[in-house]
Amino acid sequence: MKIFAGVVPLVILLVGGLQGCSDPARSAALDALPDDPTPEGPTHRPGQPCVLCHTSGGQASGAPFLFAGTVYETNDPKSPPAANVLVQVVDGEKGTSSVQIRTNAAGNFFIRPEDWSNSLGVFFPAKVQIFREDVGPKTMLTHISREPSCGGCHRNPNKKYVKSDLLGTVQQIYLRTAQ
Amino acid sequence: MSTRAKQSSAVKWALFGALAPLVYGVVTTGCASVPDETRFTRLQVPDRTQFQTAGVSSFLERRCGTLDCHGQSSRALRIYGQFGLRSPTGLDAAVPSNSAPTTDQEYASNFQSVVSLEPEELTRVVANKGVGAGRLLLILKALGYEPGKNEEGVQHKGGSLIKQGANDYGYICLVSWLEGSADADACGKAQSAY
Repeated sequence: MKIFAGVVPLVILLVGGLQGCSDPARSAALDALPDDPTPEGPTHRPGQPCVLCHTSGGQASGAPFLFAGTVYETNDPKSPPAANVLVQVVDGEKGTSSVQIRTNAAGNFFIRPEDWSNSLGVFFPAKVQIFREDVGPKTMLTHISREPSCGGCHRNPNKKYVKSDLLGTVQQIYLRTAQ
Repeated sequence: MSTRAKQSSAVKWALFGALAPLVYGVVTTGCASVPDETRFTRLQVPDRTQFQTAGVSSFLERRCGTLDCHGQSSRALRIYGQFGLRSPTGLDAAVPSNSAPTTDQEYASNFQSVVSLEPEELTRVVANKGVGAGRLLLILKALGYEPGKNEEGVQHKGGSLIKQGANDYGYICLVSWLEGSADADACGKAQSAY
């Protein structure tokens, strides 16, 4: 009984301590995400802020991304994803580091640290351009100051986000304006 | 009255005499005079019109006001603009980003945000025609002077955005505005770089 009495407070302290290590901002952002039935993999959670999990301390920290996002065919919230789009990210400050990567069937793309040309990392601000042979190049109007998840700002209003979450956001990344 | 009762009474009075000033002091400290509603501090701020027309706001919108930095409602320096955060137009509603040019209301909000960062310090700088502008957080943070690397060091997560001197249009834009005559050409070149 004495051993048991000594272990219980220890377990409580340990559990409490571990809970205290979680990031409440990240937890709140994750809780706000819509559900996605797609199994985990390169095509899951399209349109969502990928680097919430794919980063140090995240649920997918084993597969970290420098940048990740989803491209759609049009700006219509019901638009299908745009596959095979070339995404080019350029290190805005130095202008020397860059990467080109293609979107997959879900419109998702992700840039891993080993894809990036500079082993020192990204020097923000970064600039982005998307390109597909049948559409031509499209350049992002602003630079990226620090957000590695495109879905952190680009939101599809049909994805069941609460209205207040859409304030301070911009529509999904798309290739063409819907007719 | 017995001797014992007299002694007890004397002790009570001595205690009362000792504690009364203390109690009075505590009670009256909490009763400060009513604030004078007519009293105010007059601030001197840079020109509001130039902030909008010379492109100071537009430069800040492009350089600082992206949605992942100062285009967030939680920031002390909150920047609204066409390509970033839009000012709410009603209950839980806003003009979508990139759908319309920056509105007068947004320019006004940006101005208020900038001049409210350090109003007293800003007043000193403006009163001295921009002398000491380098003391302002608006400049220090944009320069990205980091603690330990510079005696004026401040933490700026966005790093260095402008460089001190006549070769940086962003620096010229901000400082010329603080000096009283915003350099529209510099502001225009600074914003077009982004």
